[in-house]
Amino acid sequence: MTTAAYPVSAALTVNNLDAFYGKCQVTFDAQLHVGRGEIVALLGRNGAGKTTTLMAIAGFVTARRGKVLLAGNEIATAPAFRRVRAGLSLVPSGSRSLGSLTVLENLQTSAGVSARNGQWSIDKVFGLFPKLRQLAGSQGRQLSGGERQMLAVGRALLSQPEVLMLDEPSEGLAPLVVAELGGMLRRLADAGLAVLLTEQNHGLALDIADRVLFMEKGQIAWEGSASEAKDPEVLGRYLSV
Amino acid sequence: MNEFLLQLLSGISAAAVLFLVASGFTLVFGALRIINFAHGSVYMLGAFLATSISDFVGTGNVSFWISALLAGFSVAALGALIEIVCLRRIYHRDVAIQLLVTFGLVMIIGGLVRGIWGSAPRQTAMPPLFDGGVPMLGTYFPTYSLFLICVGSAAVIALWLIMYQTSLGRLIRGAVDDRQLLEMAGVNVPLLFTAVFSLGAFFAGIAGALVTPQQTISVGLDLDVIVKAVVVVVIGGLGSIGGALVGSLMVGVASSIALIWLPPSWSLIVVFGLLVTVLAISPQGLFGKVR
Amino acid sequence: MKMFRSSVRDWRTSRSMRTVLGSFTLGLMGAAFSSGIASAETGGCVNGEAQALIVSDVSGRLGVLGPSQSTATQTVIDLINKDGGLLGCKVKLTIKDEQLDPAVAVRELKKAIATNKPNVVFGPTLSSSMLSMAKITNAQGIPLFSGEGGDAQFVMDAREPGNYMAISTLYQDGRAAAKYLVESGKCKRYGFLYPDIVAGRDIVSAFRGQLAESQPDAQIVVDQPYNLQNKDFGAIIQAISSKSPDCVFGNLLGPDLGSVYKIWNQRKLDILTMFYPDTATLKAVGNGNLPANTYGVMRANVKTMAATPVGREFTEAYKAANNGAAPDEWAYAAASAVQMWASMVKAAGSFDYNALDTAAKKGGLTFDSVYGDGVEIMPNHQANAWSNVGPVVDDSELGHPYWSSDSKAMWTKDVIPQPLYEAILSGKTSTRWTSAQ
Repeated sequence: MTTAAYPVSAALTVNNLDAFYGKCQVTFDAQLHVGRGEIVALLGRNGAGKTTTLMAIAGFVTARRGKVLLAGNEIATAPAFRRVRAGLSLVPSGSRSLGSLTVLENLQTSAGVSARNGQWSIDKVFGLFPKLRQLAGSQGRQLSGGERQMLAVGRALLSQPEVLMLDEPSEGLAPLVVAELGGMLRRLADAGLAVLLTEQNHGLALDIADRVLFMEKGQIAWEGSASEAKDPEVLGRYLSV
Repeated sequence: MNEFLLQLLSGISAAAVLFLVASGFTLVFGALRIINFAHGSVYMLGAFLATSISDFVGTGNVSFWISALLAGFSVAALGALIEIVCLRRIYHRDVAIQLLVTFGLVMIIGGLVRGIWGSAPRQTAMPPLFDGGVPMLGTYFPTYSLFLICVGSAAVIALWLIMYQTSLGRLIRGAVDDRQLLEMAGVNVPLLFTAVFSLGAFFAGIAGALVTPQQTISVGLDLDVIVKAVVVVVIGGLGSIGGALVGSLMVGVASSIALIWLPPSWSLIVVFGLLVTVLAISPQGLFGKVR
Repeated sequence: MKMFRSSVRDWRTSRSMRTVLGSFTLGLMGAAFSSGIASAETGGCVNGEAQALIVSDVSGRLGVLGPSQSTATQTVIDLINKDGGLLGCKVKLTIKDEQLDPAVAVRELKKAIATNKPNVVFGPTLSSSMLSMAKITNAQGIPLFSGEGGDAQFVMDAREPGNYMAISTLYQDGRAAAKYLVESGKCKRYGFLYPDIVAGRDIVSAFRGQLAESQPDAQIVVDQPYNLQNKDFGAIIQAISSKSPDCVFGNLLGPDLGSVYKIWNQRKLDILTMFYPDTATLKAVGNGNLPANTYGVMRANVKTMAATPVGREFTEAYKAANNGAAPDEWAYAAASAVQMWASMVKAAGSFDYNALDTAAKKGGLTFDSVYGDGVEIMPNHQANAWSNVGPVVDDSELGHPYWSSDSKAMWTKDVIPQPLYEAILSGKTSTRWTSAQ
């Protein structure tokens, strides 16, 4: 794969990323970009390196080589929390929440941390997820999986992201909740947010993504539009076990 | 009856000091996930610093506070330094490495204290306001012990306010739950950890300073107090401040009340019996959240 | 061979040389070992240098005894060397820290013996350490002198030919204290407060024994052994005062005693106490902060000892070597142990273990010690000194509280150790100690 010249205006650009877990190299020369208003899905089998790619971009996994540009600014050496403040948010897999904190306190942890002036307030998040307003006083650990995922997205939005990354957002959620989440991500993207998500299950991803990347053995093996990715031959090559 | 009440009161006074130490220890464990054996050393350092500071500022009612707070702030600053220089490098390392590093700190601080202050016992004079005893229940109960109970209660309230009414407390509780998620929310977690460690050191330093008018201090104070703090925290549940409060009261009061029937050489048996009983009923301690 | 031997000496004395010659260590140790055997045969020293070793708690829980003991031992040895040494040999002292831990004591002793077998060992404060060490020195044929530790057992049930005690025993202290308190007429209800270690249990046992003889109607209302690592005495003293004793006795010293005095003051307790108020603690508690009715037991009276000719010489030398700091009671005890050893070596004409034993058993051996010139070495290998008992008050000369001038020196001829041996055999006193191998 040759180095492609990505548009400078991309919200997120990743070049030649070599990420490591300890001494073990997980991604090899990974590159991708996400434009404003675009949803990019990063698909692949379990262990292909999707999560590690997101964690390396977010700064939680060591990248020995490579560039991470957020709106054209290099952030690959910044600590994770500074990347968040600069506008790069990650919703990790597993619908994690701060279990002993209330929903409101969960949201308060990321409200106001951003270095950017953003549109999101706790009130607007409650507007987006009316259920959370009702649960404002409940502890994170009392919520259902779907509610925790809404909370996680709400927390990510409050850090005023330019780029929102979601690691397997549909994992463990009921189909109805997945559809709701998908529709909401689409609306957020239409409003200008750049979204990068990973999935093992291609259902949600192919429905809402503009562009799809298939990852295999730590490398980006295929890139194309969502409709091209729906080709059973392509899906069979990169996703079937 | 009087005897029982007086032992109870003595136990609560001991519990107050225990809580000051154990709360910091449990706070640091909960947020930083480090079993900090050097916590007792920080307490000892606070005690020795207080004796030296009071050599300069005197032992009046005001200078008593000056030396206690100065000792507290000094060890808080040292705590911040220790966190930045030593601990920050080992959060992702094996537990064995973490134990080795904090144990190394125990040795270093112990050696430092011995080098600076020598091995002779030291003490500070009682501030006049708290000197003597309050006539009650047919005896004079030490005013200072009552004062320690007040300080302990104030610490409980202060910690509750910090933990549940401030954004710092919200972040500390968040760190106990999931420190990575906190960083994903854009929180400056390294700075938070420095603050938590420093806060824990402050409480331990104050506790050390506060015992100097009532106890003669000497090297070896560190291990004595850390053993008790570990028992308290394991009883209460690692990482839980409420647990540290209940654990301190249980350990302090039980070992004091037991003196009515048993000689003090049984106190360890009483305390460890309590520990075993609690762990048999609730293996994570009474309020344990962190595994 | 002679040249080689002198190189052994250089290696011992020069740190840098020792590093340079590190590769020859094994060979040199072999040489030192073989010359050690030679000296055992002749009873003399090697290369004109006799090796002395002190293992003491320079650091650890008490920490107030070891430093002054080791300093005092060095001071007396310097005085001996200034006078030309012993049997034509200079004495060289090695100091090892046992950290108030029998396991450390044994480890340090073994290391020291392996490196350079000493002609004599002076032992630590902790009885358990002393007794653990005795097993090794006796097996190695090295005489062991105690300034403080292991006294009751050391001269009694665990005694071996090569074990010597330079000062009075806990048994004598306990007896003397009981006698004094009985004679004062102030005590009917007695209480005990002491660390739960051999030394604590034994002294209280001896006290109870004397009390049963001298004041059969005395009541013992509270008996509080506490763990040595205990720091907070608030609840313990509450429990004692609830039982309202007239007098409380025990062998508290150091930091523990300081804490007890403080709470005693705060509670305005009108209970007579008799403990072991060591100099460091008295200094820490300070003038005017001593509770009323404070009495003390001590093996040595600083004033008396500083007044004997030998004591005066020692006191001056100690001060000169320590920035003017005066020796404390533990220092005098340690000094006495070295003086006892030196006098026995002179009498025996040998450093040898068996020769010293023979000389001691002949009896009638006296020496000039800091205690005065009346000290005898009894066949049981104990320097028969006395216990000082009396009220502790401010002493303007010393600059801190100490014994008043009416303190009594209790001669202990009527409480010679033999009955204790029998008492131990009949199981009436504690003989338990932790032993380390």
